[in-house]
Amino acid sequence: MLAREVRDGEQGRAVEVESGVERFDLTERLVHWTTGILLVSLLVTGTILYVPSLMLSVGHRATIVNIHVITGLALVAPIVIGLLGRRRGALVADVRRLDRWSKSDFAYFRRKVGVATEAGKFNGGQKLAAALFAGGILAMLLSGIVMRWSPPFPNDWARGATLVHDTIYLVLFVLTIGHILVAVSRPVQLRSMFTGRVPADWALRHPTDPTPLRRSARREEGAAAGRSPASG
Amino acid sequence: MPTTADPNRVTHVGRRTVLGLLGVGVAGIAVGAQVDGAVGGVLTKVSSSLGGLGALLPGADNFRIYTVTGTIPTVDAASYRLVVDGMVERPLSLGLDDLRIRLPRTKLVHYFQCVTGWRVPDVHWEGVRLSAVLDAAGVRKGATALRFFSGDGEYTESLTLSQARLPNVLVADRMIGDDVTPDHGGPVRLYVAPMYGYKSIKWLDRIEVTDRIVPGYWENGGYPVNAWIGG
Repeated sequence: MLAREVRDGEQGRAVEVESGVERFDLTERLVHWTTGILLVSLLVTGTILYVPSLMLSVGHRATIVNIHVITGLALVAPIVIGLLGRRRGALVADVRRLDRWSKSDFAYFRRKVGVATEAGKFNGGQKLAAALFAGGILAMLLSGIVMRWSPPFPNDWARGATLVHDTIYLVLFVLTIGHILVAVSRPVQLRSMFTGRVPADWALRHPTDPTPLRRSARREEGAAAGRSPASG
Repeated sequence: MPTTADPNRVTHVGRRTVLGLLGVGVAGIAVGAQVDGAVGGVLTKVSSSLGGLGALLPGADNFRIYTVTGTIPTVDAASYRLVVDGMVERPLSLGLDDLRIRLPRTKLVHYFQCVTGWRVPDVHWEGVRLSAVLDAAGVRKGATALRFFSGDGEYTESLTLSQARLPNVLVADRMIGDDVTPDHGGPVRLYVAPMYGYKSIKWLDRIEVTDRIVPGYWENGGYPVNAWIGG
């Protein structure tokens, strides 16, 4: 479907530039923004609970703990609902894309030119970020549950869970700030997460799925395009 | 980039990373306490060398300061009073001098364990055994429990009389080698060594002797009334 639209774009370019090409459907955008808002609010309440001087100036620990716990349990709801819902097609396809690493994704980190444009919709950096977010959130959910309901869990579990929760908090904090900074620096991709669409000519240069690698032509094109991020 | 191998070969790095992180999380929960105990001391040294930022280091043996209201109560030590009333022969109103001079002093070294999982080892505590305070007031027949009130106006706690009479339950006015600071619940707080930290009510200003347990602030929030550590 998307490939078809891109091909149409080659022929009727002027029209296609106006309307653009869909990159993220409504389900994906809803999942992205609800998860994002919940995650940022968790980082805010988590930071208040974690940083002593903030805790002291804000106070009301029990209230903030309750907000944090409820938001935390809600955090996984959007993606679960999205993956189980009827309009899950595009979301499932993108989760599969994020899971599958090809050579070009590893090359992305070695800053090798020549294969990066073969990345498809997501480059290696985005795939790594997505995996860290997903794994980190699951580990946070697990350790958070042990912390909140520590009795009846053994106290040693709560101690371990605190260590895990605190450490991954720092990782997710840096990751989220990084994600926002990179997004803000890429206007086309950022807009696509609001509107769902990218300009057709941009889509042509950043195909959704990697075309199978063949030596000569690809290398040439890759060298010209450099290591430009291939995503929306 | 050599293209001799199949350049289109796909590996499920995403799935492995997610499962790997989840595995690290599970392992951390399982053995984190031992890791925490082993590296906590070192991390505490690193943490204190980092100044203010040191408090952000996971795993360091630092106190985390909690308050359930919007402020930290600041109480003037000279005018501080601890009221002991309810089912007692002689209702008391004790000043800091009463705790420091007229009642028998006790010291103990014991960790502080928060129910959510952080622990500060080898904390020095000093004060008067709660049992000595109760003896000074004289508990009337039929009394079975205590209710504790905090100067913050919100925080309350409870103990049974037999829990309260344990030798490692203190009305503490000194900890970590100094007067108890406002952040730690000074000038006077409770320290219940065998139980989770929320039992050690801060800014203690009243002890009421009752004939039944009235669950305290965190207990109303779902935590156990009998907060034995590890039990």
